[in-house]
Amino acid sequence: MLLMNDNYSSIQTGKSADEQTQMLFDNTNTFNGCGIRIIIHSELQGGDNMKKNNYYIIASLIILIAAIIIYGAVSVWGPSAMPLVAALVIISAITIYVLRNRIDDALVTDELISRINEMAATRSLQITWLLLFASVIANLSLILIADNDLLRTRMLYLAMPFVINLAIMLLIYAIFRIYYTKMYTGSEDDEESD
Amino acid sequence: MKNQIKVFRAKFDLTQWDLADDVGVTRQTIIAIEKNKYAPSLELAFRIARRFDAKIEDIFQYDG
Repeated sequence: MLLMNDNYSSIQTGKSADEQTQMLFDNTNTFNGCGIRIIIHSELQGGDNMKKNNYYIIASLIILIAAIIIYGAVSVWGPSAMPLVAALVIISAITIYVLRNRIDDALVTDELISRINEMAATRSLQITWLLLFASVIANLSLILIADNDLLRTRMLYLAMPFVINLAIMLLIYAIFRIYYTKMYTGSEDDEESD
Repeated sequence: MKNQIKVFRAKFDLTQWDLADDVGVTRQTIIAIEKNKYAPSLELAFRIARRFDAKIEDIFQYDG
């Protein structure tokens, strides 16, 4: 394991992978916000630990399976399925939390990993926008061709969460874009703006 | 962007691990730079050049 500060000094330890991982988690709070980068070698990637990518896939599958079971249970049993729903939500949350602590490269970061994260986040956002927009259009089309008011009202209720999500996402994106634009292109020092 | 990191590593007898440790990145990043799949930031490029006591242009060449 290598702990690095801004002067790039390093401390090599002779501890086992598990001890090093524990040390790293112990040290995390101390170093938060201090501009200190923490890097664990993939030498630590052994045993029953897993990588961050696998964690995201497993977590998404857990959420998807839980959602399908909850949807099925509520559809079949109605309000009496609430204890099952609550249990499933708690179990899923605990499972995801436990798995989170087993990621061996959770704190590994450098500029390439940051770049990969940026690209993945941007693509996710673009595809999510497209999916939400497509869902909104599909729902609006169904509302327009619905042959009675009851169906039209139900379709409207179905469409509203997509519309709201889309609007919220756009708003959050705009806020962060303004924030980062100001952070990186502040005009106060622009000599040619006069 | 082409680079001579592999040559300099051989000259200094450094492994990818060693260089990654010294400049404060993961080995994955060094591999990506050596394979020209990732262009490092200016800061990292300077750190690598400093590690090899070389000028940045001796290690990195722009071939655009």
